[in-house]
Amino acid sequence: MLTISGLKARVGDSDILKGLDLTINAGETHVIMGPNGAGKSTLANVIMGHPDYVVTHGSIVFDGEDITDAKTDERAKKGLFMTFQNPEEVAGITVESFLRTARFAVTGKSERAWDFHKELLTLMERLDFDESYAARHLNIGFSGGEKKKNEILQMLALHPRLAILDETDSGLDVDAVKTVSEGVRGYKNEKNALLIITHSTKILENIKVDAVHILVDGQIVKNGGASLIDEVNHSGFTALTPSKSIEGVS
Amino acid sequence: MEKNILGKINRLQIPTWNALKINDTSVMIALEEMSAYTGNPLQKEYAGIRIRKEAPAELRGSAPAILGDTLGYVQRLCNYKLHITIPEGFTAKEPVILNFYLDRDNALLSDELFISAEAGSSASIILRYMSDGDSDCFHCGYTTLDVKADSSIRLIKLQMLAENHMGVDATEVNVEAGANASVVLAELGAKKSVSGCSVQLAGNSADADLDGVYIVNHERELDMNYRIEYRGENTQGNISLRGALLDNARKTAKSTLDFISGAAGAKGREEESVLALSPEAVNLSAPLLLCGEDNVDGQHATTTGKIDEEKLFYLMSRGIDEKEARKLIALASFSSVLEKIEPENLREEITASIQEALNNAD
Amino acid sequence: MERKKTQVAEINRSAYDTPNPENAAYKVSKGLTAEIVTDISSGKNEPHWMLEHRLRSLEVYGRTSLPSWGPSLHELDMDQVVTYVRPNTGMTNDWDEVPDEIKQTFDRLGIPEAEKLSLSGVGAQYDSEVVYHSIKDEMRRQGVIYTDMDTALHEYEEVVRKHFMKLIPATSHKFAALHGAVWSGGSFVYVPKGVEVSMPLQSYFRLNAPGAGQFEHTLIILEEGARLQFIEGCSAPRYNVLNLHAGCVELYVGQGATLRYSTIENWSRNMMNLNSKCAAVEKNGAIEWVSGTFGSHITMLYPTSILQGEGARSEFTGISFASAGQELDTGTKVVHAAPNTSSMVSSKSISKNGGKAIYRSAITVLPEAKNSKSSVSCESLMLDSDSRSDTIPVMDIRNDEVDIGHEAKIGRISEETVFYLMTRGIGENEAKALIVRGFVEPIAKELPLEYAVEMNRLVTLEFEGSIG
Repeated sequence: MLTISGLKARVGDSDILKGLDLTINAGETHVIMGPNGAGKSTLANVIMGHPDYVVTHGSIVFDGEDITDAKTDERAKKGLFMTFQNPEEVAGITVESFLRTARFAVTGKSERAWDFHKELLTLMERLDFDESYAARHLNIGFSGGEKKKNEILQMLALHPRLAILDETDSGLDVDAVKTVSEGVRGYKNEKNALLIITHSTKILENIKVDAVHILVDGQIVKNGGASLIDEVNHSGFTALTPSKSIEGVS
Repeated sequence: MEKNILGKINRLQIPTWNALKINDTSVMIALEEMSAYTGNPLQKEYAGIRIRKEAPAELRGSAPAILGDTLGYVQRLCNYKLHITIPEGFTAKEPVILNFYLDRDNALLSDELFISAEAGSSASIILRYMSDGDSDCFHCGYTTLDVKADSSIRLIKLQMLAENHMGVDATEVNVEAGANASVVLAELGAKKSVSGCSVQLAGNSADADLDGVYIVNHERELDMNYRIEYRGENTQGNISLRGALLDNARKTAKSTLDFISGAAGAKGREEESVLALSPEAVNLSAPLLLCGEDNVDGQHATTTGKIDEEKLFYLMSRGIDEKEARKLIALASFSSVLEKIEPENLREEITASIQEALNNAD
Repeated sequence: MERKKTQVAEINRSAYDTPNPENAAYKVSKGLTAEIVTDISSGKNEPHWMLEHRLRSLEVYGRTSLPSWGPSLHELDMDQVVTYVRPNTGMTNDWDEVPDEIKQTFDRLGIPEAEKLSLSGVGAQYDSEVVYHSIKDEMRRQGVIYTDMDTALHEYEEVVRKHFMKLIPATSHKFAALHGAVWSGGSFVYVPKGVEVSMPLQSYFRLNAPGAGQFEHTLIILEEGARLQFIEGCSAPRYNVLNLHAGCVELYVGQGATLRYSTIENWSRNMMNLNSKCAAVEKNGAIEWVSGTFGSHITMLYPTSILQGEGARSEFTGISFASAGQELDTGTKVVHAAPNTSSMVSSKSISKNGGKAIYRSAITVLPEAKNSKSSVSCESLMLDSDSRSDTIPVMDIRNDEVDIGHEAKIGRISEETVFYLMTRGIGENEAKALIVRGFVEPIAKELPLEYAVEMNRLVTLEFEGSIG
């Protein structure tokens, strides 16, 4: 589904990704772990086409199509999605009307407002989200946890083929992590895929993981199965990359 | 007694309704009756710093429009000139202090000062204006501060003239690339004081802070006009004004952030917090935000109000009486500016004079 | 598709910009003299005191200079502005009696349709005179008066005399003086004690004649406890010569009464819009201004609220959208003149394609206005670096028992926000339009529905037009 080859990217004058390969197939859940500053969020932003990140080498192919230079909204229409670490606040647009606009943009199908409203309320209930939030302005006055839940809500409403979760669990309390990971499990099926970026492992406890990649200094230094998570938990990233001194997981 | 009018000073950059009487100001002085200043404000020499009693060779550009005709008046009446140069790469260990003292025999001071901070230098300059005596005194001054690339300079001006005297003062600051200027203007005295300052952030990544702190009490009047102009890219400049009004004071605060087209990435904030401690005081504010560039971040916030009742209650619940509690809160609101004043004995002196003004309030 | 690439103003404005052939019954000669003023007055068969008022105003006009601040008005040549144009019809309360070409204009603007659906009454002015005025019977039965100013001057002479140009005297500024001399048309509203007018009244001002001025006078009086929403719409076709609008709006809000005054100004871009508005609010009364400024070449407009009764309150919600060739200098004035008064100002502006948006205000708190509150919030959005956005607020506070806050922000559309919306599949232009619509939403929701829809359409078109 997604094939990244030899990807190098920079922000301003600094090279962040330094030659990265990654393949994700339909039905799979991948995890990218790594210390702060390794380039994890850069990878997510490059996959979505953030204008500040310049790809200097390599390619990103999604469903057989090279999207390395595609505009962000085109990528979203093809079925890519990412959650933001700090979701933007947008005054004047309600959560519901924003999601309807986005859903229409992604699917191209117009739906009855009432049907969409009912579906949204069901999803919100699943995420333990008070329904009054549907009428609130996008992320305005939301707590950190509510913003993260809102990201998951958007994921559930837009049915992406590949969802990238960028540090969705950071800053959440135990209950909220549980709600979020239930939401993620509800999303996952055999046709879609997940890429979870994290530097902790709380969120992974209830999710079946197919592959784990350790990202250090812009490169993947180790690939493995779910067992790699325990290895990281046990000995930190430093043990996996003996040549460099890097802070471990706290 | 014939009085001279010094008019059209401290002009609002973009004028508004005349009836508000905020577009400019003037002072009336009987200049002819005053003896010229002959004192020496410099008490010592400062190793490594060049001080000359003349104007720099290069010609000055025209004065910023908001300062109005002040430069013209100062040049006409000028009786004191000084050019201070902080040499390239030099870091001054102690602040350069000029103490101007006005009295019957030194009643009219018109000083034109030039401060050049050469590239990569660092220094702090303190200019203090004081006066005493029953006869009329007048200070009229213009300071040009040239902050060359990558230097860092702090200019502190303390206006502590006696309550029966007048002052008109202007400061023009030019900040080049990567340099940093901090200007602290403390307005604590004078019957009427007109204080103007215009900072131009000329070079990329130039940085400036303009802090005003004031106390106006009795029948005194203060007219401030402060401005930062953003020309270079990624420049940053903030104006912060804090003060208290007592008795029949009249205060006018004009502050302007002026983003020129091309100043991409510039950031500026102006804030004013006024503590009104008297029902008779007149409190005028005009915070202008002017913008010709889309890629900027400009903000302004003003609050005017009484002392926060919750805070007052909190202090009183700890056994502090109301009057004392009010003073403490008022003083606390100045602390962020006062902290910038060094050396410490000077800060304490100013703190004491603010405390005294607060003590004498009803 | 090709049309979208042309100036947006020209596609979008067709309903407003289309002129009718000039077909006036009577026109005074260009320029301004005592003879012209006397002619206007005698043509309307006015009481003598009104003629005297006009002549006094003319004299003030002659000795008053142009404002020394604000946009340059040098393009305005008063000798070229025809002050009075009477349309070739009388006043009626039946659209069928309005001449076809004039009725068609108002049809295009959607006025008769809105009247049926959502209004308590409608007034329509064409050039200098009102051509249509009507109010629903149930309102009339409750004693509500809604008529044109000329009729009011004859039928309610004493009421008019007591209030006319008392809030905005001719000496206020040059264009108030001009208005006093040559005013014509406008609406008169009287709402008796305790009457709530359920649906809004709407007056629409249409200026058709090229090079003319429109000087309508609106006088609204709300007695104790009355409630009213009044909507004022303005437009004019596009000509190459300057037109001048110097109307005058005087609002008297009685004790405990509430008046909402909404204006959508969409003059063509050859209009000098130099308008004056003032409301006096009695004890516990409220004035709510909603003001949208989109059109005109130059606008100077600062609705004023005088809070003269204890507990009186004012709200000002304003939006302006300045594009190429426009200088929109707008804002508000508030005078807190009694205890416990409160004011709230929320202003937003957008500048684009070299347009210039200026927010200007004066909040005055007098010594007697103890425990007053004022909160001002201004936000400006700059869409490019050819445009300008200036904020010029003044606060004059003369008592210490007050709570005054002022906030202003200037900036552009955040690229991060655009990216965020694009990751959800929304295209770049649409994302920007969405953000701008969100920016104006707090104002749009205060507007009557059809105007809110119109405003959103305008924003969307501006974006499609700017990139393409």
